[in-house]
Amino acid sequence: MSRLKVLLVDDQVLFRKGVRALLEAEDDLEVVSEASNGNEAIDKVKAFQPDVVLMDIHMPECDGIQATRVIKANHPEVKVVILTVSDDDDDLFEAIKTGAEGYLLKNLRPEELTQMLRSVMANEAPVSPSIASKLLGEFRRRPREEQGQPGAPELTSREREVLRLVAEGMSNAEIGLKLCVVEGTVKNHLHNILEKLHLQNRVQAAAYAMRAGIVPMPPRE
Amino acid sequence: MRQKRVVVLFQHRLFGEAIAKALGASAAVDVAALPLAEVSPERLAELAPDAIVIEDPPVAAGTRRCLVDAGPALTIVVGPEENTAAVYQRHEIIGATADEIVARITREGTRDRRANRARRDLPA
Repeated sequence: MSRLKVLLVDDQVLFRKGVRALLEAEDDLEVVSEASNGNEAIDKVKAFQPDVVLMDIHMPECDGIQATRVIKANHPEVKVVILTVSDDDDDLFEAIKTGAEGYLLKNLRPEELTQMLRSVMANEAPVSPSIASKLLGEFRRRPREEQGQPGAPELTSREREVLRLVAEGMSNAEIGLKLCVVEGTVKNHLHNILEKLHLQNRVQAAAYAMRAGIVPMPPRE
Repeated sequence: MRQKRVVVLFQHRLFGEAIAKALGASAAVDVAALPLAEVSPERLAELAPDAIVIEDPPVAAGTRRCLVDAGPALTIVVGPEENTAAVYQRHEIIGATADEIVARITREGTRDRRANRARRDLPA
């Protein structure tokens, strides 16, 4: 079984070493290298070709947002998952815009981190629950006129259904079960949805679904 | 030489567990991690740590009281964005690496549990 190659990017060396030890306790994960800022991360992605980059945001010289932008432009196949203490809205939305596949806060359990790293390779979008709530809140605040953009590409009814379930937070396997199709079919639908909408990942797809009114906004608290 | 007991108090679980894992690689220390939200004078007294490593930013008043009640435990404050650590009430700054923190902890005298117990029993 090939192991999932992870690059750790964080300027706090004690945390980095600890996370490395936590991940290396798992048989299917391999930390191929570490970086302490965005510039090093860009170099090390090229040198080590990891499957996933675990990226901090606030770092000296080059921050995680800038580094993610460069990495996604040059190595779109590499998944980037933000791992930070910052639940700042600007950081969150900038990270999503740069193409990060996930956004995790450092308050998760070690076993949740390893699980979410595995899930990102199945094209799922690891997002901390409080972050998901912020995403919903942001799109709830957007003006109604932004919904249902004119000229938006046509999705088939099946694609709209898949998109709705993605926005509800379901994994491909769960969507497959719900729609009585195999997971591969769900992946194909999702691939087509991302192509048509010019999006990079399912977080962006979920955001689109809310903006376009494909899923109802959650009730205000 | 017996292992020093260390408790890592954290606000962010992964941060705390990672620090505990990094420190625990040393045979000189026995490390437990505890969320700040669950800390109490009784829980700390039960754990009787020689040292406490606590996540910055500065702790709430209730936690400060717990730290005072914990007696002479060496307290080291580590922030998620800094590569330095502050030794609480000692005016010392050390590198926030596992080696430096463990070295600082082992340099400190071993906690006298009976003395702490006697101190806690004193009237306020």
